[in-house]
Amino acid sequence: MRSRRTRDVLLAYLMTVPAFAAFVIFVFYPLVKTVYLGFYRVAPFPGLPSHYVGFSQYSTVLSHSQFLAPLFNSTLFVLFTVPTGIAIGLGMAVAAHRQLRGIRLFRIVFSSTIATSVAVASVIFFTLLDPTTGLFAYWIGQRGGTGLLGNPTFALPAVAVVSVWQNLGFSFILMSAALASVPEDLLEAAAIDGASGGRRFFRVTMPLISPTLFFAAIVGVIAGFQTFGQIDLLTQGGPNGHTNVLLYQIYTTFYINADTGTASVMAVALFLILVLLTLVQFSIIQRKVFYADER
Amino acid sequence: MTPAAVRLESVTKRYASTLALSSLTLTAEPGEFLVLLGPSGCGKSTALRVIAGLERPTSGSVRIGDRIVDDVEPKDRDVAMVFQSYALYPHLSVRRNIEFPLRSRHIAASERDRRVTDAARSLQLEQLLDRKPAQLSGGQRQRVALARAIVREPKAFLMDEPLSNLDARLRVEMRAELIELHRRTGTTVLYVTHDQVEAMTMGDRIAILNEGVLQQVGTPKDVYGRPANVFVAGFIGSPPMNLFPGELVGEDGVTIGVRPEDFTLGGAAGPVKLAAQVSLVESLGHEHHVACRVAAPSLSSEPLVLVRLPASVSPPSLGEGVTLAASGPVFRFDSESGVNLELAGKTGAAAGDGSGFR
Repeated sequence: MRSRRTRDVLLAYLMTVPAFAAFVIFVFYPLVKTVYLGFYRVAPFPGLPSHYVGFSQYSTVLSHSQFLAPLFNSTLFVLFTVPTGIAIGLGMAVAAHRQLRGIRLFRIVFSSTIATSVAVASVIFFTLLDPTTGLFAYWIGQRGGTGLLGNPTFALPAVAVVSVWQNLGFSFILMSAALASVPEDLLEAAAIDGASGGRRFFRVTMPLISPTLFFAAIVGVIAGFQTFGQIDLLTQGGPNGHTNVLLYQIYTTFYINADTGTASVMAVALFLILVLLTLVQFSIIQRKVFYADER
Repeated sequence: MTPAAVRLESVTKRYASTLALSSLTLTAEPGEFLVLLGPSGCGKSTALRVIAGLERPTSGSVRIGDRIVDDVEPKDRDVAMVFQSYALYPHLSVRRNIEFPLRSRHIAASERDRRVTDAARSLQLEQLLDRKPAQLSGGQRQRVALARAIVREPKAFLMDEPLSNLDARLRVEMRAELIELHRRTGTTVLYVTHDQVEAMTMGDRIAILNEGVLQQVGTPKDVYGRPANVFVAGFIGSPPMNLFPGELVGEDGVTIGVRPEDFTLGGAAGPVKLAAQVSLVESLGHEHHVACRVAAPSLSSEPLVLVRLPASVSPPSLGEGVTLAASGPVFRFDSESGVNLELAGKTGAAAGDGSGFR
């Protein structure tokens, strides 16, 4: 007869099976398969067999401009969106944090973009930025031409603006919650201790909300590198590849060019980049971040 | 910094529907240890917050030294506050916590170091300067909060129930330390508490508040020996003063007050003599508390009277019939207004004007 302990252990393993199975089928298998596909070079014409080339495909793809240029665009995109998104969200949260008449209305308005989707945001801005009928063209008094989205210099910043706008609601709610968690008596103590408003914000509030800033930065960087919808709807990577970010490049390589080998190599690279960035952020920022449970 | 007087002049503070302070006039003299005492919600903390500038009074004004500070920001009022929660900055070391007010005021590094060292030494924090508040015990945090206050050398200290989060033993210790600190610095202290033992042992004077209204200001001896009204009489003293209707001793329209230690069982003739039955005896070792139910055929209920007997006296047994006689002072209060009738005729003795018992 089995002991009670053995039965408990078996039951425990049994209960992890569904989650484990889902992980294996939807995460682990695709990951391994992607790495595996990266070892095979796909023939330039459909129907021909692909053949094993090992790591040589990794080294050729990763040093080629078809990978490096989109990587540069993605990095630029993240640099455009993450700091501004956090800063504007924090600014709005600070503004809405005060107890004023009708402040609830502003809180609702400020957080409303969380209810929009990438598609909705893209359509709104596509309409606004349309070079002939858009409101933006009317404001700057210059109709026709390529418009911002067709301009090599401004296309990526314009898409970044759409992303920042769409994520503002989330950022605002996150920052508002963080501000609400800062104990009022600490700020009062700082005020009596002679600290000006700026010093109170930078020396007391900011350190205390740093875990949230850190979280927002990590989530923002990952989301930034995974941007796809805005690009697909607004520019399809154009003009002339200036908004061709990494994920969009992977998509076109895989679905349009049907080059599964190259696409897989780039997908693996993107995965490793995100893992690495997250680790680096953890190790650098963790030393500067103050967590409340250290109180 | 020379200690400054802190004065509230007819300060009223009204929140949406509640009156937290009602025309409070009160002065802490330079270098004085003034305790604001009252039950929770009596407005004592509000008074402190108004002085600090954290709340704006609805009307009235605040004076620190010879300056009216109504339009002065908290940071420029030059007072230091110790919070009940200590309000230490959790992300800063003990040293940086203590330095914070000095850095805010751009005091030179050498001067800053000297003052931090002095403050740390006087509160025995030298070994803890590099720790974070989370690594400190409650008593140590309390001392850091005090160090952060004294390092400023402010015109006045405002303390909002600073000892209420400590355990009983530490509280007694810190009480002595605070008294010592006040003696050493000579700075004006406004100290808020609901604990009458703290108030009686620490205060030069005590201001007693109830429902936003000042009841009496006076030395601990004054408020104990000559309570201005029924509220003060019942609030000061532990166990509290016995208060019962004058009808029991043939005096209509008054409330009679006798402290538990001023009753004896049986014997002596006096103005107050009550027939009663022992309903509870508690022996605490150094004394006995005897609760007696007074026979009162003329009243709807029989009042309970508490008697405090020294340990040397053997306590009566339960259910025993006794005669209670007042051997000490008997207080008489107007049963309508609650005012102490003995003091009512004298100037400035009425409740609430704040000018009595200087």
